[in-house]
Amino acid sequence: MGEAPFWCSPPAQWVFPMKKAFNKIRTTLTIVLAIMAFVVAVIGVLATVPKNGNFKMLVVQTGSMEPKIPVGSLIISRKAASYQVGDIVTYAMKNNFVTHRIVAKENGNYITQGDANNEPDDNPVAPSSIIGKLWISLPFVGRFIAFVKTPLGFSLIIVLPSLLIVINEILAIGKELSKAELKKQARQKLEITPRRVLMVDGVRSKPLRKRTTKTSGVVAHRRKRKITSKRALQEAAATKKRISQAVAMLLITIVSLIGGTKAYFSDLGLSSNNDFGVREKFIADTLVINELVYNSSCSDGQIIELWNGSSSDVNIKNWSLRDENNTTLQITNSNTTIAAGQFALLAKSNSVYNSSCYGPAPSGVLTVNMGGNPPINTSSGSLSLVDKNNVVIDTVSYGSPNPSAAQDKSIERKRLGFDTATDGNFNASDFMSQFPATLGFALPVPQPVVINEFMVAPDSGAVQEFIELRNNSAASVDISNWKVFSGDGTTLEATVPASTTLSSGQRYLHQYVAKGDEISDTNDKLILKDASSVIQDAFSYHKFAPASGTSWSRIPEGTNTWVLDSSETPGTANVL
Amino acid sequence: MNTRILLSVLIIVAVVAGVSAVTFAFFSDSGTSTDNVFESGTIILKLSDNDQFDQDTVAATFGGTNMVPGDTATGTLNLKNTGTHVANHAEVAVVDTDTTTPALDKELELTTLTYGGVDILSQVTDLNSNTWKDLDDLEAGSGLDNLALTDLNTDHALVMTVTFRSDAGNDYQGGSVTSLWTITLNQVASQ
Repeated sequence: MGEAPFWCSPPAQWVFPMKKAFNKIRTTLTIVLAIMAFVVAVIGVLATVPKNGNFKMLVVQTGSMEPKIPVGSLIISRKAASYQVGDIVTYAMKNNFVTHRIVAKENGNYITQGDANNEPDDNPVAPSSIIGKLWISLPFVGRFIAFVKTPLGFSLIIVLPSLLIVINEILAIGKELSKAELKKQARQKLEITPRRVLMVDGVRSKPLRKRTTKTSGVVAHRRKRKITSKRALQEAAATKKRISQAVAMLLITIVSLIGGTKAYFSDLGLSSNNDFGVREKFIADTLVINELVYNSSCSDGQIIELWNGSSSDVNIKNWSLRDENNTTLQITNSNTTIAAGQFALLAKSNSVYNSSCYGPAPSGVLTVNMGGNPPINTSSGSLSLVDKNNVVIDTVSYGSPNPSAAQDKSIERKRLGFDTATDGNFNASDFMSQFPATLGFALPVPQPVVINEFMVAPDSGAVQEFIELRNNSAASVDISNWKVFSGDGTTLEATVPASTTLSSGQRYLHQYVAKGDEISDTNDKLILKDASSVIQDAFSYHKFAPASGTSWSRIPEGTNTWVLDSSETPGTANVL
Repeated sequence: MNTRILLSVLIIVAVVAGVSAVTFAFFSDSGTSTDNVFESGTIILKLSDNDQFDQDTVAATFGGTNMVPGDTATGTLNLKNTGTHVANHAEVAVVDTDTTTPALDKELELTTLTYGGVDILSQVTDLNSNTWKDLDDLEAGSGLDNLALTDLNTDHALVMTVTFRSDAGNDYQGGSVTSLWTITLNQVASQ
């Protein structure tokens, strides 16, 4: 004979109070869960009805749509055929959903903005990114869902009720098992002592007789039906309650998976009118002293280079030079015209321009023999160009602390005619030291292709005379038919073949095959001209002749620093 | 089996399975549930430069006049969140209006660019392939991003030095470029 499990049979004195308390808890829980289940069921049904597209339920987690949509609201967005300015829409952004208002349309996309934000969102929203238009907004409901999603809320709202349901069901199972056991015992006793009174489910019944009268049998059956009917109703109600609890529990559990929509905050600021303006004229539109050799190793070697930056020819008859002590030397008392854009080299000479020091003036350059020593100090000073009306046209200060140059080198404007302080004013930053001097011409700024290395006096080794060009620019340069001249710029030394293009950093090497004196070892000048005969680079070595077996090299490459290199590197990178 | 017992077993299985599944979905990604934070408040970006303070819009923060090749111009733009909610970062978009042909902004090289004292020039890419980083590159790229601004009421200095390239040609004489900077202060990193 079996017995009921111990956990189904608490002590008699506990049964009534425990059962009462448990029933109260169960009833309260049932009501709460039923309400929740109803709300959730309504929302769930609404969110899944396939009417006009899909729905999206989201919890509003940020306040950029306040006051229209408070933080903590549960919103439902419904897909629409089209969206208009003013609509509040939910759209996907990266891994989140954003709910903002459409404030404009632009190129087929939507410009959105949070009501609480000052400015529209950064990025336009493509129509395909829009999930739907705000349909329902339920304040505070989202907070409940969010609370459910916290560890505490999850424990209180999901885990604990679920646990109670499970315990309740376990108790129910125990009760059923107990009842089954009692029934089994009753049946066994009936078979032995049919007149014994049985207690079945707490209802006292008369002993069943094996045989009975018709009348008494009807009464017994009626009573039994009555008992059975009442018990069945109670059990059916309890079963419904249990099923409702379980379903509600599952629905709440599923609702806790509703995601959030983050209508993020942002704010914009502007910094406007950031103007970068370039001086109207930083290239002089008049005559300027463009280059100056003030310290020369040659007799009468001081040279002043003028450049006519104006658009007119200028006659410098009766113009003069004046130093910092107002010592003046007239340049010339005869008509001497410098054409627009022309260079003029002023030097002391009793007859012709002295070419023995720095070589002949390039062709087309005006040379002016002043006949007297210019008022130029060999270390530092100031020199002004004064016209016939004693108007100062230009002024240059030289030597420390102003721009300086070593002997036989020059100071030169950073670019042809670069003059930010006109007339009698001077700006030291307009000038730079120049080696070698570029008397009678100026180099372009920037220089895309340069003479990178050259050797004019090879020793007995295998290396011949060579001229190496290099593309210093970032882009490719077509150097077809570029030429290298010597002397005054008219003696051709080398021509680059047609269809020759140098990529950035690439070199072109012109190497003489026969060993011989192809280019003068001393007192000469190399001038690189492009296909349009514009000077691109030059090097005068009248005062800087390389020793035998050495080359002049730009080191490091890409700079204007020239170095005498005894380990020449024709066609390869210049290194010391 | 007794139908009542069977019903109880089914309810237990359903509830345990449902809760277990959701619990797994909740905590399997990060170990904790973090997607449940409500945020309200304000994010307010205020800008300052050398002569304007805590403004929505400032003017002439950067720039230079009468520039000649080799000149430099330095400006400082301070970013501050005066709202009640902390932000995450700021981003900058630049639009240039250039009146010069060829374009002057390509000759305005960004020689220094720092935010909070940290070099951020690496955020600019030489998109025009002229071998230096310039105002044109800043405009053409995605601007500046992830400028951390996670505190309240504290200035964060964005400092830029621009050099008018010394090898810029004569064509730029009298030219100008005007630059509009739009700074967006964002709440979260994903913005």
